[in-house]
Amino acid sequence: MSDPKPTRSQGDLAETLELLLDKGVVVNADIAVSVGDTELLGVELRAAIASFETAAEYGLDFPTGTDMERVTAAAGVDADDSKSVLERPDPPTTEGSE
Amino acid sequence: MNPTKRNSHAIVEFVDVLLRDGAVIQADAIVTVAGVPLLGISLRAAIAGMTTMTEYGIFDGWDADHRRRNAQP
Repeated sequence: MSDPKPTRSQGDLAETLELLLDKGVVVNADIAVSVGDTELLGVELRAAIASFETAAEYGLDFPTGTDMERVTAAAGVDADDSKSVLERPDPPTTEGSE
Repeated sequence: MNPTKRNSHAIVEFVDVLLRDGAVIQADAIVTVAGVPLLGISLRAAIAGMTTMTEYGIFDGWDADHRRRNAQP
C-alpha cells in the first residue's frame, strides 16, 4: 500500500520462467544458407527445455545414468503413457543402461 | 529508492523457481559446411536443487555417500 509504484516487474522473471518450464519449449530448426546452388552452411537443431515434471511427462531424455523408473514415478506419469515430442535424429546405443 | 535490492529479489525468485522445478535440456544439433557434416552437438543436461534431484532419483547414491562420509568423523 505504501509503495508509490506497482512492483509488478519484481516477480515477472520468475513467473515467466515458471510458465516456460511448466509448458516446456521445443525448438526444431533447420537452417540452410545457400549461395547459388551450393549449400554453404546448414544447421539442424532439435532442442527442448522443460521442468523435470514436464520432461518426464513428455519423455525427454534425462542425462545418462538416470533411473527413468524413478523419474516417471516421481512425476506421477506412466512410462508407456509418455507422449514423445522429440524424434531423436540418431538413436544412440544404449549399452550399460543400468 | 533502492533498485539493486529489487533486482536481487527478482534473481532470488528466479533461482528459487529454477531449483524447485528443475530444468531438463535436451539438444541435438548438426552443423554442415558445404555439404559436409562438420560439428555435432548432443546435449543432455539437468539442473535442479538437490531436493528435486534426489526426488527424481538423480544423484541419489552420491547424495547418500556424502551424508555418510560427513556423518563419520
